[in-house]
Amino acid sequence: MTALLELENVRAGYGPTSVLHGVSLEVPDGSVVSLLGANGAGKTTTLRAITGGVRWTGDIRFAGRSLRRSPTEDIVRRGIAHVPEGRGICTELTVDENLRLGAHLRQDKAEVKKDYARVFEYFPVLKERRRLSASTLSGGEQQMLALARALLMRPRLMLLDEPSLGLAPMVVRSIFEIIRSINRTSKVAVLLVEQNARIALDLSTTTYVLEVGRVAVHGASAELQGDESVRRSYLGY
Amino acid sequence: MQRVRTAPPRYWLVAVVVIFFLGFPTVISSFLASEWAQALILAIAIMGLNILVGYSGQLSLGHGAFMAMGAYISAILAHQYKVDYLLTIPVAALTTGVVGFLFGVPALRLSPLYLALATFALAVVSPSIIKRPHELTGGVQGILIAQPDPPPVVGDLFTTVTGTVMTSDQWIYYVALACALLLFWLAWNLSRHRPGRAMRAIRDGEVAAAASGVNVAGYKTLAFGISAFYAGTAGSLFALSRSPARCWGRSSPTSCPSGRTSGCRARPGCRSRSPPRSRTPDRPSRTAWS
Amino acid sequence: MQEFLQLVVSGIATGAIFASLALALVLIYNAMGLVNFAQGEMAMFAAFIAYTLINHGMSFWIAFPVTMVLAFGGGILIQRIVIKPVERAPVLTLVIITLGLATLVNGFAGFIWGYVPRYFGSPFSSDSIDLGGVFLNERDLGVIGVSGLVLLAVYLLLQHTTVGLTLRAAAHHPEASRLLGVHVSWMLALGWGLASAVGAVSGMMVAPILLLEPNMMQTIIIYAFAAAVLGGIESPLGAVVGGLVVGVVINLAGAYIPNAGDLQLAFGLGIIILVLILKPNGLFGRAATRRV
Ligand SMILES: Nc1ncnc2c1ncn2[C@@H]1O[C@H](COP(=O)(O)OP(=O)(O)OP(=O)(O)O)[C@@H](O)[C@H]1O
Ligand SMILES: [Mg+2]
Repeated sequence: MTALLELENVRAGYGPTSVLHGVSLEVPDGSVVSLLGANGAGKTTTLRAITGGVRWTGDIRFAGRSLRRSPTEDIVRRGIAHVPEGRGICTELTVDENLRLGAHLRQDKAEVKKDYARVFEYFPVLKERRRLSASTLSGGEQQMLALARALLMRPRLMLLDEPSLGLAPMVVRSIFEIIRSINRTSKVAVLLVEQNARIALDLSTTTYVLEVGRVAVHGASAELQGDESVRRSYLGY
Repeated sequence: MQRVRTAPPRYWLVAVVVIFFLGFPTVISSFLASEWAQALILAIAIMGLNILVGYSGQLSLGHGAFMAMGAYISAILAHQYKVDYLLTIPVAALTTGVVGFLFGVPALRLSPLYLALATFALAVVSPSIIKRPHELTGGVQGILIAQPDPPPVVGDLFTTVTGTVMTSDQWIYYVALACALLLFWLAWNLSRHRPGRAMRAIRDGEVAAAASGVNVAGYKTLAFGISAFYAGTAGSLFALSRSPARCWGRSSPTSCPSGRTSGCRARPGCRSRSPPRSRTPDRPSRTAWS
Repeated sequence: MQEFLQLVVSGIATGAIFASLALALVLIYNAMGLVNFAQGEMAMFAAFIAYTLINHGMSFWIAFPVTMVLAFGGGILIQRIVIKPVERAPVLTLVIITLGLATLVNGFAGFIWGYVPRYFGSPFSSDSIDLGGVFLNERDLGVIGVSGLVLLAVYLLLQHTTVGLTLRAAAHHPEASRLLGVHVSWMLALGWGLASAVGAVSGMMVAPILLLEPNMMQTIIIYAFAAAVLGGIESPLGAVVGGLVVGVVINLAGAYIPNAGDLQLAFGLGIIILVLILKPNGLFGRAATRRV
């Protein structure tokens, strides 16, 4: 399998404080990779570096081409959907307008229509609330909206930053089921940042564990799950 | 929070500056002395604005209105009530200060942007309000007051020291200098003590300032009052400092030889924000709302 | 009663002019949280351009859209050259910059065209239409019609096109929009262009009523501020409603309050201050959240 996304010795930070001290990782095409680590380890920063939200050195390649010096808008247009920490919902707009924003760059109207149908199948509640302001959605519904919007972008890679944050366990399970099914049916690669290590390991094929800006451990998720010492020292269960 | 470190005051430097400012009008022309008086007057207004904007962080675009108020109070008192012009300065300053303080109360409720907007509107609107009671303010014509001559005591003293006769321009210069020094000293003290620190804290973060026990509302209003006090002083001096001889006989008060658009009179629109924009109501227009 | 109705209609015509300028203010406020103090001067400049075009033999109805297009381009240029380099500056710095821009545009217009007021012919006849005893001035109706069409076009653009959608998204949620592939910086430029074009309409509508000169918009901008504030400064609909209300109120006050002539501008100030103190979110604004 060829790597869709490759990070090579990426260093990044905010102004004078450096956060990532040389992170290297790979997301193969069509796979689910999870990125775990304690609070403040630099998971969000890694995702931000990929979509150009922070300055970085080293190299980041997507589908073989470097993302160096590309502005966020152009990176996204190449096929990366980033659902940021905090979901990035446009609360000034309606649910439908948020969805339209996801699809606004696409020319294939017929396909967009199909994707809408699929999205509403996954998240029927969004169909009910189409005309309402996105600010009236609950946290979980907003997470669904963010995922749905990302799907409508028809990306090759989705970056998901803690999709389970603040959700009830039931909802978390169904959201992860949907992520799995999205990955299976539309061959979208997923880079998943999570606090909930158990569920992320379940879902992903490969896992990277960040510790203060460095990759401390990585390997096949099934192996890490079985490794008592890794679980104890990095994943805390 | 940062500790404010102040260098030991260099009194000799202050003395040199003061002596320079005292001495040099005697060696320059009377015209230049009046130009310097203008500079001092603007300096006073700017000191006031600095207290408001620089210290308490409230942007006022309408300070010209406060200056106009000071100018009109002085002019009306001196012209219609024949009050001694020197006395009109503190009266104008204090009245304007009180009005500014009162203005500061509603200003508290405005966000910085809205405050800029409201004071901008005030600046544009004030000429039309001022010219309204024209028995009092002289309408568009304004009030014509003669620039005061130095009192005999001062004039004699000046003659004994320099051997020349003190002109009214030089006298106004000294009045402006005295006011500027006094107000500078006041602002200096204010900035080094509690009010100055409190205002800076407010500028840097209102919530944090309030949390550390600063009376935010009180100091913000106070800053408005003090700032208006300065503007009123400047306006009052401004009204007194224009010699009618200079533009006398010209058809329009807006065409002074120096190219300045502010007239030689207290005139609506005069110095309230940008002078060339003042409108004269005799301009033909077909609607009432122009 | 008839006189009252006539006053209301001509107040609406006046208000439509305020509404265009207020809408321009709102567009820029939404895009960057800034009140553009140069909006009026930009509109004045556009009116001068229309005047020049008409003087060169163009008909008003061709000069009108041409000026709007030029104003649109001018707005984009101003955003790119003047505003973009200081985009991240504190809002009060930006306010000072737009004030400087106002002075600059004013001086530039004065430099080119001088300060002598010029006659700008109205495209509408000055006849009146008799509607059951109520005489309506064709000029008023024309101004209402033209402004109404422009406002409607802006509404359709913002609410029912993809560009409008991305424009709104970029204005309110720049970070999130960027992640959706919206070129936020260009959207801001587009917002300035749109505001400039809409403002130009107010300039071209007001020039035949007042006389054309560089200070023409100085009072109009105060009424536009009043309208925008009344409507809640961030609501395009509010700006339009606010404009109409201010226009009608000013017109009625001018007619029914004795000797109110000069003080109409003071009414504008009064509206601004009253709204800001009593109802800072205006008629259509959302409750502002206080940022720490
Ligand atoms: N905007 C910012 N400015 C400065 N420092 C930041 C900023 N955002 C994050 N940091 C710092 O960078 C470090 C890594 O933050 P990051 O958000 O990447 O962590 P994370 O792994 O996503 O943590 P969490 O699990 O809590 O979301 C932290 O120490 C944080 O303080
Ligand atoms: Mg994070």
